[in-house]
Amino acid sequence: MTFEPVLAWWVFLLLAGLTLVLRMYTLYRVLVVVGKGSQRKVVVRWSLLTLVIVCLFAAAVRPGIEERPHVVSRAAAEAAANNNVNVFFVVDRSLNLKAEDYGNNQFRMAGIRADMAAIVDQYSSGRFAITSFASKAREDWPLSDDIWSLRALLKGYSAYDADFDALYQVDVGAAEDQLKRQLELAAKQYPGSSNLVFYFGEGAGISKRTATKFDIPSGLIAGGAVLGYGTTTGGRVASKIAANGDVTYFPAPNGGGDFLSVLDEASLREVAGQLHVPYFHRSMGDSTAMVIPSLDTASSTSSEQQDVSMPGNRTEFYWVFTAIAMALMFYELFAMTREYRVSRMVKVRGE
Amino acid sequence: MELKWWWVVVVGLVALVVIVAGAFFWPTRQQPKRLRPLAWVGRLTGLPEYVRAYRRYRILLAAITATTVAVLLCAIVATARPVSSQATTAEINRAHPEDIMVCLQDDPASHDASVLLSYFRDQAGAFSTQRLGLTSRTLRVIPLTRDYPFLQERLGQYADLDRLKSAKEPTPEDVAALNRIRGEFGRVVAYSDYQLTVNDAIAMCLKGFAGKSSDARRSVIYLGPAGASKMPIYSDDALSALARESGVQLNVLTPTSVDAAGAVNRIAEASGGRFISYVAVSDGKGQPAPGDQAAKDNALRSHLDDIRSHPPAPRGSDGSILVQQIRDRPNTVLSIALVLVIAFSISLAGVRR
Repeated sequence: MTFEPVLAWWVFLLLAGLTLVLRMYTLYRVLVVVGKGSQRKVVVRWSLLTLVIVCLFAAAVRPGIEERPHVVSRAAAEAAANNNVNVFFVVDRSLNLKAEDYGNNQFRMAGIRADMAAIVDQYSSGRFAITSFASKAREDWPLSDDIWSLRALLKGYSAYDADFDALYQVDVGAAEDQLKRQLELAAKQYPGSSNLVFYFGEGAGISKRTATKFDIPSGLIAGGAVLGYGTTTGGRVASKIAANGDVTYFPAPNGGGDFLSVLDEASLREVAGQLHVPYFHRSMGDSTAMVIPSLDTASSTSSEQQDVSMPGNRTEFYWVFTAIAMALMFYELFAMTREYRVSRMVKVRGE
Repeated sequence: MELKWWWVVVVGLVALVVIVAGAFFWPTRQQPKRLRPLAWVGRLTGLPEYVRAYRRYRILLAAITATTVAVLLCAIVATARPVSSQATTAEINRAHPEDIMVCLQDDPASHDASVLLSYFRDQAGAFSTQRLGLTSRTLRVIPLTRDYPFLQERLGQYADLDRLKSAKEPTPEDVAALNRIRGEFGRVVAYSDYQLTVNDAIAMCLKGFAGKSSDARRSVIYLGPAGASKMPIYSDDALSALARESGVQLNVLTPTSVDAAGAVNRIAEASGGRFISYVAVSDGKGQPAPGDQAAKDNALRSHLDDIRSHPPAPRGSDGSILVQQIRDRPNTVLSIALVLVIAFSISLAGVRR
């Protein structure tokens, strides 16, 4: 048997006490006024009305029996809390990522793909979102735990096709708005979760645009990293890949050989500073273990899970008490009307 | 606020009227009191003490009548068991959120697709815990997500494709947008030894729910042809098993008639979903009359309403179906009753009862 009083206990007791005093005072007045003969009748009437009041108070504590309250199993809740991680990838997909200075003359994008896949493996039951950018940002993948489909997406994830001039328009902070919105939404929708931000880029040293600054409220990012790809000597940027595998490159704008896209670590460190996460330079074969932040799993125990309990099948009894009160009140109403009528049935003698 | 036993209110009010009327009109055995005529009655009743006493008596009478009726009405309403199905739905949505995968086998720029997409764009605006995803015939266009602003924006773009396609004089930007977005739905690849089948398209949608089972209520809403599959990767039995294992309700909206449909009909019904054959708007073969088209669009939307209003039943962790019991919400009326009880007790003290 459980109780769910409709009012706070102290309000409830206050009202009960007040009513008790009133009823006792009424009983006293009844007994004082009425003579010895008809005492029984008025006391019965008083008792019935008191019973009505007692019944209403009994109904208001809402007695009931809780049947098998359905709560998410403890093990499942703990597992969910440990995996309550939102991972946000911010990926530079500008032409710079087609520079061939990663590992064994591979595109920088190949390194990003490998690292993204490794991080996905690390949090295999977390939620992931991808926002890409060059001159503008675009949400490529909304926050979702559909890892199966995400892996398929990552296999073919590549840089945008664009004209050479687009390189001057790359904004390393273009994803600011989208990232902030997504982080805020995730914190709201998944209480108790941790947000991780991984930024993949090369700094866009050639860009002529002033970079947007990341201005994310503190507390929204629990960890992450800024990862840089490429070399400071630079790499040739592929403009076209023919069907037979021949690659053509963008020529340098001022003539004289191929254009070289250079890694701009200074601008990446700046981004890392704005996001309050460390910066790492990545080259082929680097383990991802060092970039994975250690999360305080105890702090991410989820308050969400405690809320998640099915409205259990509760057998209520309050209506039994209100039904008794209702029946008694019908009698009282009848008696009252009757009395009123009798008191009005007067006839002046002689009329 | 709804009432579980609304008949209690009807019976209670009828009883109230009958009892009051009965008390008034039922003959009494008691003889009317005979009062002696008194001289100077007018002077006596004109005395200030008498006037005051009489006023007090009338106020008391009114108070006791009002509080008695009010307490009685509260008792009647509370006995009728007030419930709130809206609050119960919200509670169930929190404990068992809905996962909805929209599955589009048709060209996203087709008219029916745009009706479907705009329907869910509007729905996403009112979501609170639901997750929605979109799958084309070969790609997960949008994974299951709660990012509602994103959903609304993307679904809005996709729903607009129909307009872009049917534009009389499309601008180059329109054409570019149309091609770009069609690209997001995946390219059609011709294989030498395989052809995409309905079964495999549905299996692709069913794979969009992470993990074998969860507390979420999962459903797939599939729009497209539903003919029998030739040499599918997922045979009818395998598809049926996949739907059962991942606990997904499969709903099918198709222009294919029930007779022409393959096993999809059976699988949908076994999963607790609906199989609805609708009359498709003829695409291409002449313009249908605008009124006709609007009626068909509304029919499609009402089919979607029908599907959405029958979500899967919430299941416990052991797989048993939980009864969607409606919780009683008598707190308001009981609180009012308690406050009235105080007023009632005060008036009772006045009339010595």
